[in-house]
Amino acid sequence: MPESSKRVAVTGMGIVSPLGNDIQTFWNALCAGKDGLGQITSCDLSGFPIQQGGQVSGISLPPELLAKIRVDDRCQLMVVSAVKQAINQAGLPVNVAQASCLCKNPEETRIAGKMPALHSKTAVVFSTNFAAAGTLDGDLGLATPWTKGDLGFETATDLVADIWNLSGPRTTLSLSCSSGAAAIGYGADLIRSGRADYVIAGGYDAISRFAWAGLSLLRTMTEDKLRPFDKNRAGTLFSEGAGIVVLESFESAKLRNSQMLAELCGFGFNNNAYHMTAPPQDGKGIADTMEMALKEAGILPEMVDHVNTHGTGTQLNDLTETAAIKQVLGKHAYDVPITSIKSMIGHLMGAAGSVEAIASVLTILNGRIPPTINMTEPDPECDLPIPTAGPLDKQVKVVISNSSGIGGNNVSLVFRKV
Amino acid sequence: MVKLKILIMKRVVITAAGPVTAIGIGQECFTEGVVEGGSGIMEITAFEHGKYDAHVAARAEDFDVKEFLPTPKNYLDRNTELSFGAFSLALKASGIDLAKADKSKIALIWGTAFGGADTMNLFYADVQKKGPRFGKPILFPHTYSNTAISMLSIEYKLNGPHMNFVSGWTASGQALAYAYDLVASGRVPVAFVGGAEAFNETIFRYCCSQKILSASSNENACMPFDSAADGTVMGEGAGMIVLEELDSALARGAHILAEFAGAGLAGSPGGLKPKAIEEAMTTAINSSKINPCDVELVLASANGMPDMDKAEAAAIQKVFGDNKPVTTIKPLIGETFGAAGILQLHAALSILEKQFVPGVNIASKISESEKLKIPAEGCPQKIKTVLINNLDPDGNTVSLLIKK
Repeated sequence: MPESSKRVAVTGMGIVSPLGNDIQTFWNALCAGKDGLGQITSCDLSGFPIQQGGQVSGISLPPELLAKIRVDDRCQLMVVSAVKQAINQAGLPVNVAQASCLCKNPEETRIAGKMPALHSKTAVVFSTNFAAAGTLDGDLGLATPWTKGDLGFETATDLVADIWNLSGPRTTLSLSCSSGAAAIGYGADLIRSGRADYVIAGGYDAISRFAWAGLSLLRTMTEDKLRPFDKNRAGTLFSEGAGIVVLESFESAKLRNSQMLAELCGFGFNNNAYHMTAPPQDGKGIADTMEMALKEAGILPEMVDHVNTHGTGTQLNDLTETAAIKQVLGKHAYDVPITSIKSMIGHLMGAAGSVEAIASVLTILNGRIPPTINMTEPDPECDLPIPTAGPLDKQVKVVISNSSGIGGNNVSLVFRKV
Repeated sequence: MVKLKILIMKRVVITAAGPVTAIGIGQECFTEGVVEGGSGIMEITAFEHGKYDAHVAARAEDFDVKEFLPTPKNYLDRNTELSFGAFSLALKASGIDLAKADKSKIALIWGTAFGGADTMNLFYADVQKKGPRFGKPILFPHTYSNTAISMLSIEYKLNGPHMNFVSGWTASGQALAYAYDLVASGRVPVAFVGGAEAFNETIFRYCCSQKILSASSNENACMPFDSAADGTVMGEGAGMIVLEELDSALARGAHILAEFAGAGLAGSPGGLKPKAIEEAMTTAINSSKINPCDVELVLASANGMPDMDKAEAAAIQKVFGDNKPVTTIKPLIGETFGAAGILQLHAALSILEKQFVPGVNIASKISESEKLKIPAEGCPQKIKTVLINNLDPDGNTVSLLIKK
């Protein structure tokens, strides 16, 4: 680790997704190979050629939190719910609207005095592609005076800092579909550099007419099922949700007696410098971020047990990502099972990378790799081992999670068993 | 007090600058603009402003993207155009030959608050008027907030670390702090870092709805620290600097403009409060291992928004005490949101180069700023160290420390 010897742990996770609004439901559904995609009704998509995707429903929040959010911005509901889960799991010593120390049990309060300064150093790092675009229908593209639409990217980030009374820096990132992973990687950098003691990090996006108007044009959406790495894969399907983690240093987690779910030990990020919407065929960009992340982690390619792929189900992505994995892992690639949870939950846009990071951590914790569903005819060009019939039980110590996005951004995260 | 824990700290220097603003394009012209002190704020001519509550802005009127594009483009959002301008200027000034450089080791770090909002509007107008299937495919990729940085990567084949901040008005300030951390910790030897914000009717309509703009219609509408101020004025611009590790800059014989000596980040829940500004400033000062009294000038974020200016003045007073020299360039270039941090850094470079503090003409100071030394007229002053504030009304704070 060139920057610091400080190691970063994931100590809390929260999720809102088409396959459940809590970690256990989400994980059970992934391992059961459940298809979370279907007709979208959460947003009026009338007139669009494809109206299939993954929507979230049934988010419940206590009244004191509901009172703080803007109801016409569905992102806020998703984000606040996921953050609440992550904070609870981490036992993060923060409380809604007051700065009291909530340690996990009374014995721990005696060490509270030794803990790092709490609220002053809790950072919030979120990422999104479309932010509050769902609020823009009455304003965007119209000549009338602006009404209620929210053009800001940082609203949800500020909201969370306000609700939990956090005085650390708040950062909002937007790197198209690699956003969610970038937020977690950048969050880890804030811990390593000492700019924050705790980081609440992740991505979110909601389905909106604006997003759909554009995504429908990219020729990446399929009318078929989402079939990553299948010979007949015809494209991806978009979804909504939020994936949030709590990051802190090993020292801090040990001091608080908080469970370290996994170590985030590598972060690679770059741009293909090639084309706005297509990856280079050799997969060089994503191969570079995988190498960068492994190098930072000090992990050799042959130590990698699993790759949670970007695996969008488009012809180009799955082919180039396969090539990249082979390039980085060499012959060992054929011993490394890969999967694409997008086959079940779809492509969560700005949340995809963070939700897949959460799945990667759960894979390590449970020793179980979720299947890739909808595979009927394996693509001989995508010939890496993929569990398709059901989950694969395997001890997993090191996972690489890949993300790529429009504009040519790539992010790879490396998680290690603690 | 926050102690940064970066173990391997390399010294970081600024070796090139390329601003695009209402008062000058390129560091040399911009510096002339800062010293002359003529405001870039004028009546809006880009669209009919009569129906809005604000009427002036500081647009980069003289900017023509054609001068800065290596290859022709079918369509670019103004935000991307400005970004190409800043990048091209900084690259040229740096003397770096990209053909010979290891581009995977060059970071590109960017910030913008609104990105391609105007193209979002243009794209969605067809959808609103004609129907869901009628958005123009060519426009959609230009609606993303990361379009500018992606197009720079593609154009210049920059395949190194790549990050796009959209943290509101502190976007480019946070980008600068991150680029500094990357270079200081030895993860990259070189970083191109900056940000852009376009002026257009889409963002203007939105800002009018947010009630942040002054209703005044003259070129002195932006009145930082003034009790008569009723809001800020929209500006436009882009900026980019090259950050390099000192030894590698010296080894290639680069012209060193200044040292980037420290950065601080903080935030305050429930809107901008002095404490978060104090914390950002203190962190930047402590991490650069100097004493507060060695900071010879504070280049404030102040922009004529009463609550922000009061919080900032109170924080500066608290950290530095009486008679600290303070100024701001917002009366010249307006509030440029996501580009504000980087454009203030360009101004700090101008100030260090010319040993000159631009003035702020205040009719009646807000009480919080009474004991600060804010020159009414521009004046020569010996300055080695400038602290820059970059603030967001929702509570995000960034401070950067620059040394001669």
